[in-house]
Amino acid sequence: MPKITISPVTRIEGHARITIHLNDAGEVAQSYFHVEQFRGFEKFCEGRLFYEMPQITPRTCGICPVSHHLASAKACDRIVGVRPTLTAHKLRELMHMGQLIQSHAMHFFELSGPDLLLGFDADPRIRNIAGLVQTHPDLAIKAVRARAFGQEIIRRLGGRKVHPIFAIPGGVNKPLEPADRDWLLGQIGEHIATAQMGLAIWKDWLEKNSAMVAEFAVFPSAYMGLVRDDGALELYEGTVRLIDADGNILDEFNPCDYLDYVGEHVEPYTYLKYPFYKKLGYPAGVYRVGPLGRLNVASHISTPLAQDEMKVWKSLNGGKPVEGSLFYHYARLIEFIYALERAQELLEDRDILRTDIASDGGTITGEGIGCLEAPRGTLFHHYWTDEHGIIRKVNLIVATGHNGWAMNHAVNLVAKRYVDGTKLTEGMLNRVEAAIRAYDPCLSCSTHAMGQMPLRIELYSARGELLETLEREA
Amino acid sequence: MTSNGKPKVAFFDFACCEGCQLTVVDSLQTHLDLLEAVEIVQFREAISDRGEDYQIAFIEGSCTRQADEERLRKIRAQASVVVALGACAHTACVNALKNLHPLEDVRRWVYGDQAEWYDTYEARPISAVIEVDAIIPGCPIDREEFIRVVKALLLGKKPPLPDYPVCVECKLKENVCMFHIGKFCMGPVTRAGCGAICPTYGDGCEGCRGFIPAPNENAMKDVLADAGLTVEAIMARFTMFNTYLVSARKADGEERR
Amino acid sequence: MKLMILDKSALAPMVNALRADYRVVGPQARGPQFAFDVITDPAQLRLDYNTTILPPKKVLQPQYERLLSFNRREYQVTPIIEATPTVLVGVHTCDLHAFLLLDQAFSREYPDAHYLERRRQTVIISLECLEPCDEYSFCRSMGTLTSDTGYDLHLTDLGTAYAVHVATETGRQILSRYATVREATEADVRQLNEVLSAKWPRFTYRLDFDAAELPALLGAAYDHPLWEELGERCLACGSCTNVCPTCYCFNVFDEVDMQLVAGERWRCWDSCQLDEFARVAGGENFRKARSARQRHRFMRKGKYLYEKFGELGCVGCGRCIRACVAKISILEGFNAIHQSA
Repeated sequence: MPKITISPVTRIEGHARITIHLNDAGEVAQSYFHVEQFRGFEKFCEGRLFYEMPQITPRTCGICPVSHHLASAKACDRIVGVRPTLTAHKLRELMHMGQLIQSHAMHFFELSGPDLLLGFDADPRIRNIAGLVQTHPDLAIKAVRARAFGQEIIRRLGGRKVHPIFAIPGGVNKPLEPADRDWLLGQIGEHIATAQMGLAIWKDWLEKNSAMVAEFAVFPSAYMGLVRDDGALELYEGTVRLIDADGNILDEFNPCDYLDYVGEHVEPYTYLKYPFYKKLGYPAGVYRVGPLGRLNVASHISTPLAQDEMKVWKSLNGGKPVEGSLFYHYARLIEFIYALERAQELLEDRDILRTDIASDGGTITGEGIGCLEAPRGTLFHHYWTDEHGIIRKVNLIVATGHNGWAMNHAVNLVAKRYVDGTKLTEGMLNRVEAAIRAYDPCLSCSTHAMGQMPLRIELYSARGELLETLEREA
Repeated sequence: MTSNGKPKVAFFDFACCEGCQLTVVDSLQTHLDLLEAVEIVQFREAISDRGEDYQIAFIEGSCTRQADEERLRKIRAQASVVVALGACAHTACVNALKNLHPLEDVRRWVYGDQAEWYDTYEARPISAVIEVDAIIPGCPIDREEFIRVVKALLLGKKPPLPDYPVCVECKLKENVCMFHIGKFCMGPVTRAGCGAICPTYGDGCEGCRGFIPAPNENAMKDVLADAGLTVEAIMARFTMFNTYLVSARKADGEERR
Repeated sequence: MKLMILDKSALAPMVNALRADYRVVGPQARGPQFAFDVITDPAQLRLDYNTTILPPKKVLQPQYERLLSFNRREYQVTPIIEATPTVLVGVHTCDLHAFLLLDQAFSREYPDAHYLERRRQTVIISLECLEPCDEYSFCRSMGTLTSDTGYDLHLTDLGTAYAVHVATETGRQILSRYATVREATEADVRQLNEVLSAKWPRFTYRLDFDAAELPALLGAAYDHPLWEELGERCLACGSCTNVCPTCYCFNVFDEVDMQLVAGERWRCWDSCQLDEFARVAGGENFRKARSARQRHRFMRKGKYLYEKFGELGCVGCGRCIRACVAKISILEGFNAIHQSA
């Protein structure tokens, strides 16, 4: 079977490869989204002391270390059998909002923004943040500022933007300083306006491209995400809700029981494990996570500006889940508004400056699970220890893992729609890339990459001969 | 040099989380004058262009397989100055945790029945493979230190690298000593330059910047034991970021006194 | 000069009034410990502090300080003297003694314009110690438990009020302009004497010998086995000297802009305990061993500075012992040398 390999998917974080298999007629028969770096980090953590995990696990990824840091700390809380103080809980959630803000801002404006604003078919040499600075300087500056604001929340709480020093088993290391609270509150309005501007840009683009969007990697699936008790969107704590393709609730469960509900399937072409809902089996039980999944499972949003947009979202498909892959961008922007509003709520909380930031440790329970909604989707950290707290086993399920099947499926649909195997054009490759980028995969953490992979496009004949190699460096 | 006299700079990554390169991107956003002073010809995280005529190479990441060595040597052959960017390149960082496990087990566990396809080996700093002219330690790097190193390179000076421990910066900041509040800290044997960031934010130093040139390892272990750590916990402190250095020091024999 | 009485309720208004014209620096809580810092609210001032992490030396010789700015293109050098009118409140007498030594170090031979200008602009309000700080101090042995000089105003806690000894004209003016005080009555003087005489028994002699013997004792101890033992335990972290109120060594470095044209020359505290402190041009390091560096510290504190300035370099504040994670004690060291002599 002829095979085209597209790589790398530029400007997504981490490394990936896409192969497209053609039939004898030169049509796409099947395509695969490969991840060729392998999980190893869990193994290396064996033998470590549990309380090191909130510092070790973030080192898998410089893009969203905060998500690992906090999920790990939540797992460690359970290993020592303590509940963090309410103040610590709020401060951790505030840091998490900082992570959401910086990640969503970066993704929309710096990674996918160039695709939307400059066009999928623009020269790759300008289809990047630098090109955006040239054509939309005002927007680019606002975007950079919004991302910096999210990072600033992280830095003011944890000292560093990358790999902060903050959460520990039972709480956090340092209270929020009044001056920092005031500074952050003073800035937040500007960035809410930026997020709303981003959403307006998206809606405008959607209107102009509605025909393309309607046939771009649109497919049904189940969806998963955390919700509050009343069904509202929740990113830090809550109950896991699974809904089917029509929006019916399949299940709701405590994240600590995830092993009863989530199975992992291994496909030979990738080392990403594909999680699925056990009761439906694989592949019927595959689901999507991340912004699209979360807005589909949640009934509403607790903050006013984001809720206004949520009402529009819920009307997009007549109350049923929104299915188009490109709608991830839409959902991401609504969440961007929510994260800013939620950060504002937390900063205005009268208890946020309290100094009771850590609970004393209890006894080692031997097991702990931490779960939260990372920018890219539901993240599980699960550790087993011996009676001294030495790690015996680690299981991590990361957002990009949950979405592995969906990304593969989206690539397949787009390849079939746009790729003509007889010739390779930038435009069609760009569309395949765009399908991947919608899911914002963070591959270095989902594969725990410990190295770099070779990246290129290969075209094979029906007899498996290499016909063409196209290398495209990032 | 380019015709405008600016040195050409390239960034490369090996096994790492890319957090140091992201920190560089942030530094560029706050130090726009840096972009005036150098010409970046290769930087996968930030730009699409790719030039091979660089003089200064910043390398992030550890060497984790045979194939990395060839790529490193190629960079070394081209660059007049090679800078290890961050802990992965400097000390092998947490990548070296895998060195504590039998290599075959790791390979088998990670790669399964395709283990023989992959030439992974013990993680090591880039200085184990090529000569390194300057180091920017830390996980991640400190952005101000990055700027200082670039300035020194532009001046043709040896880039500054603190040879004193984190305790110095911590005391000058007048932080409460971590040992006085029941926490544990590697500050006394860890290379300064981070502004004692972890103790400043309430947690003990974990040693991500590597050891000072002549660390009193035994005394440090005594201090940690006195403070209540078990032997396992003490070793954990030493190996979290410095597995490679601890092994290398052991192989080199005892420290000087 | 006169003895005045400052009611404790008048302290906060005084601090507020001073803040209009001065930077007021005093002891404040820092976590479970204390540090001298700028007072922005009188409630921050903790005159009940035991000791501070760093000595108030940092007000006269900051940890980091700019010395001059330069421009390579214009061949221009401009001195920078960073001094602000400051009232330093709550200095214990051990630290006062240290100031007297620093004054000599920075004014003899090469008068240090930066230090001296800050000194000139600093008003010192000191505080009589009535209780030992903690288990590490040995001020009584070092003769620093009281002082009759080195301050403008000196406070002694009388319960509901402070007795204020007015030592200088500056002190007198500060009181008259910024504070509501009254002259001490005979009863106040009697109470002050009672408080002062009651305090001495609370402080014990912890040195096993007279501190005046230290220079001679150390002079004979250059090859003492103690240094090797300390060298084994010492981490060479420099904390002992960084918290010492009489250490004044500094390092100098330049910061230039990205165009490599203009810049500033800085200095920062340095420590003889660090590996590279005694490295000189040519690469030789003449105090390479930790044992030699610890010996050097003991010698500086108990001998060299005395020979140079006529004052012992150790004021018995105990900060170095408290700061040492390896539990090296200069007090125990002095006693060990005495015992074996």
